[in-house]
Formats: sequence, structure tokens, C-alpha cells
Amino acid sequence: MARVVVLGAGIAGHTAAAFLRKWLNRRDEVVVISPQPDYNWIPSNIWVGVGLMKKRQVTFPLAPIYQRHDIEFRQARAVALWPEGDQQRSQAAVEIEWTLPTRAGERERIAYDYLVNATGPKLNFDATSGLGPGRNTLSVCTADHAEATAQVFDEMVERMKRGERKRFLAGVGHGSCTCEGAALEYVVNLEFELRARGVRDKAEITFLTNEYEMGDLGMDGLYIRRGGYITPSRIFTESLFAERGIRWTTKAHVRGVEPGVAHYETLDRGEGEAPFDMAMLLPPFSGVPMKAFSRTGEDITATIFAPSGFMKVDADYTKKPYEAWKASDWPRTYRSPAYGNLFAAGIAFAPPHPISRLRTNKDGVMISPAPPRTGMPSAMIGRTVARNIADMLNGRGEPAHTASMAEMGAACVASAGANPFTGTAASMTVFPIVPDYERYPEYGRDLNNTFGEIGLAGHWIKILLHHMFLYKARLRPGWALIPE
Amino acid sequence: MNTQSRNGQDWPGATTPTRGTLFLRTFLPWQICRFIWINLKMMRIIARSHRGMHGQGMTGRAGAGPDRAQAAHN
Ligand SMILES: Cc1cc2nc3c(=O)[nH]c(=O)nc-3n(C[C@H](O)[C@H](O)[C@H](O)COP(=O)(O)OP(=O)(O)OC[C@H]3O[C@@H](n4cnc5c(N)ncnc54)[C@H](O)[C@@H]3O)c2cc1C
Repeated sequence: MARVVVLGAGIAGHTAAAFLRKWLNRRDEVVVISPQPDYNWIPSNIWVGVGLMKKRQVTFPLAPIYQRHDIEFRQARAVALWPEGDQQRSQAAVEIEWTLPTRAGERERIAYDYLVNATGPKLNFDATSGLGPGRNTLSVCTADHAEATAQVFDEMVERMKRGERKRFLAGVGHGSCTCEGAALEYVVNLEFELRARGVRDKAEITFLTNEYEMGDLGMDGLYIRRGGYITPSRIFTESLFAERGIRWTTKAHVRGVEPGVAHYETLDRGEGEAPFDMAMLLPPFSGVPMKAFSRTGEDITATIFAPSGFMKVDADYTKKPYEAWKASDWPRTYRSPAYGNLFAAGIAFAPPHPISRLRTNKDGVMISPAPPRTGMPSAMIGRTVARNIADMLNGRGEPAHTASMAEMGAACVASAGANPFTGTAASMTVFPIVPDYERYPEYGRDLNNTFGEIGLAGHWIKILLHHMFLYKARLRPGWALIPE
Repeated sequence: MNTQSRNGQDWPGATTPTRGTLFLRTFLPWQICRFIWINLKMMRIIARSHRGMHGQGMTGRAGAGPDRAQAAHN
């Protein structure tokens, strides 16, 4: 009997756990450790944040589903890895701290044969003073954050109905943020809702981003064939904003937020201030902090984790200039080079370098997006890691299945207003996610498989995906047939 | 909506959609066709990405092999 422990029950961890259960022997144990009792379909938090959905529509309790599918669930957070075992026992173990209210604070070590780290990001609001819920800005990163944001949004709308003018600020709250696509989705949905509620004329909306130009999305932008031209994503993104009367500031690093004003510096224009009545700024991500110890108790955190807190895997982490970055630098199996039974999936793995060109301003402040790891690659990595572990438990020595972000594409739908008849969304595909200039010398990507368009059809697809992925996550009949 | 944006005064350099483009974005018959087309396009990407995931064949699901412990501790 073997035990596979999965840390995290988000898109990557939940997918990995579900496939492990499907592919492992019944005698083998699959254990999921996650600090929250619920699964959250994070992409739909955008709609919660403008009051179109409630938290219960984007979350569900994990325990009954895991119980039904014979997956052991422990509501706890992982705090340390003991990949060589400890003084008492030689088997690798993970140390957890329970968050289940009845056992809160209790610590325990769980032995494992294989471990998947799918702990996602630490929402690093502390990187910018005054940033985040409970301080001066709002967020939609969790369902609770999004509900609190919707409440403030409702209050703003009520005051605008009474004739007040309001300033809205949305975007990212630090020069090293990722997830610009989510911030963009939020701001266009906010604008759409203000129009739907009849108060658009009372609102001034600004988007603040660390991207060098609009449409970069942390992917170094993309090119699309349209109207007889090969057109950069900047053109479409600026058009989307201009059409909706949303102002934007690019190349910005938010230094601090005080009540009602965000202070930022840019790559080229020095300093600026963005005043607001309501601000939704996403935080930068770092790895979920975890320690690692050798058998003798020596701290080996730096062997397993990068300084950012993300886990080192089979990537080429050698420091190189932008021109020398290669598709082959990106990991393929997500296995730790230090311990062969340790894998990372989803946001938890350390990328070898950004995708967008690194840029710093005259004071040496880095202002460029970190690489995005969206839902589709996160789930595909989770599934691939599960497949390899199942194979290795069956006697295969080395992982044979791969899920490099430089070899896979992504399909993504960004809502631009939710209404079954008047709503729209930008549907996008890119192939591959990480540009490969050796295979596609001109644009880094296959233009036959990289496209984007805005329309009502995209909104229908977004709704379909919401229901389909929640169905899949609930592990209802036929769940495994739904692709990641 | 800020009408100034349409003539580019507030957003110089930004491309803005024509009336025809805006109309087609929510014109039901056209959007039904696009719905089918975009889905096919996305399925193609998904299929291509999944193809890339598979290694040199999968091992069948047998009982626990003798290499298990070794695999787990290498
Ligand atoms: C607002 C927003 C909108 C987005 N929209 C889209 C979209 O439209 N399309 C798209 O493709 N992607 C979107 N994304 C990105 C997508 O949500 C991520 O790619 C995806 O959630 C990553 O999956 P993950 O499993 O790596 O991390 P997560 O989903 O964040 O899961 C991490 C899990 O680890 C758990 N955990 C945390 N700490 C510990 C610990 N110490 N021990 C154990 N478990 C722990 C967490 O509770 C959670 O269960 C969006 C992201 C945001 C923030």
C-alpha cells in the first residue's frame, strides 16, 4: 500500500487528487491537505466581485465529495517537509497544522510515498504598504474577498444613484504582479455593471498595470491574424478600454496605498498618484511559505524552494538574458531535482524566468509582470503529475508524461460583461503559452492556433465553462471526460 | 459610456470598433455561428495540448511492483 499526499485543493491539487484516485489501486491512499473547507472556482470570483454571483455559487464543501470518492481530507496547512524522514522514522513526511476549528493549531507529521505540492500562491499583500482587504484596497482573489468587494461596489452604486460621482481604480498593486488578465476582466465587468445599473455617467474608471503595454498579460503579448494584418494584442486591449471609456496607466509599480490614493512610479515617467473611492488591486504572488528539513533537522529549505517560495522542479534556473531564454528552460515533469518522489503542480512550481521581458526603472525597481499560470495549464500539470506518480508506483522508473507550458496551448475566456443577450467576452487561444522562437521564429507562437475575438458567444462559453468545471470538480458522473 | 472615446480625443491612437463590428458582437445568428466556431477552435487547442502530454505509452494498472519503495525514495 502506498500513500500519496496532495497539498492544496485548488485547480491543480484537486485535479491531481481526483486522477490519482482514479488511477491508483484501491489499497493505495490519496490524502489531500488543504486549509480551507471549500473548493473555489476562482475564475468566477470576478462575477462575485460585482455582485452578479454569491459565494455559494462559486464554492462547495470538499469533505463530502472526498468522502464519497475515498480520498482522505485533512483540513490543515502544510508547514514543513521532511523529505528524508526524521530521527524517529526513515519515511518522508509532511508536517501539517490543523485549521479545522475543532483541532485548530494541532500539529502532525504524515508519512508519504509521493507528495504533490499544489499550494498555489501566497497572496502577498504585504509587499505594498496599505494594499489589500482590511487595509485600503479590495481584492477578488478569494470568494470572501470578492463578496466584500461586491458590498463596497453596491454602496458606491447607491451613492451614485443619489447623484455623487465616484472614482474606481482597478489593476495590480505591485510591479511584479501576475494575473493582469483577471484585473482586466474585473475592470470591464465593473464598467458593464455600472452601465447596467444606470450610473456609468457618474463614474471615472482607471486601470493601473505593471505591463509594459496593454495586452502583454505577462505573456510578452501575443499576435493575432485579423483583417489582413498580424496585429498585436495591445491594439485589441486598448480598443476594449477606449470603447468603454476606461483610462489606463501602464508600466506602473504601486509603492503604497493610503486611504483614497495609490502612489506609484513608472518605468519612464517618474511618479504618479491615482485617487479613488473604490480600488480593487491584485497582490503579487509568492510561494506558500514552507520549511524543509533533512533527517538530522538541518534546514534544507533552499534546496527545495526558490527564494520566491515556489518549489524548484525540472526547469533550467540558470540566470540568462532575455535573448537567451528558451522554451526548453521550462519544466516538463514538475519533479523536484532533489527528491524524486516530490512534485509541484499549478502555481506552486518556480518558473525558470518570466515570459515578458524584464524591465527596471532608473531606481532599479523591477516593473514587469511575472508569468501567468492560468487554470488550464494548472489542471493539466496536476493531471500529468498524477499520471506519472501512478506509473511510477507501477514500476516505471522515470516520469514519462510531460506538460511543458512551452509545448501546450491555453484557451481562455475573459468576461467583458455578463448578460445572456448583451454581454460579451474575449475568447482567446494561444499556442504555445511560452513563446518558442526556435519553432516559430517570427512571433514565437503558432498563428493558426493563436486567436482572439470579442462577442456574446464568448460570454456563453464562459457560462458553460463555469458550470462544466464546477460539475467536474464535484466529481459527478463522467467528470474525467471533461477536458482540463 | 464616454462618447469622446469614439473620436479618439481621450484615447489618441486607440483603435475603436465600427458600428458594424459592435452590431455583430451581439447579433444572435452571427454569434451562434461564432459559438460553434470558437468551441471547435478551443477543442483543437485542448486536443493538441493533451496530445503533447503523453509519453511513450502508459503502463497498465497492475498490482504494486517491487520498485515502489525504491521509486519513492530515489
Ligand atoms: C481573480 C482571478 C481570476 C482568474 N480568472 C481566471 C480565468 O478566467 N481563467 C483561468 O484559466 N485562470 C484564471 N485565474 C487563475 C487561476 O485561478 C489559477 O491559475 C489557478 O487557481 C491555479 O491553481 P492552483 O491549484 O495552482 O492554485 P489555487 O487554485 O490557488 O489552489 C491552491 C490551494 O492550496 C491551498 N493551500 C494554500 N496554502 C496551503 C498550505 N500551506 N498547505 C496546503 N494547502 C494550501 C489553498 O487553500 C488552495 O486550496 C484567475 C485568478 C484570479 C485570482
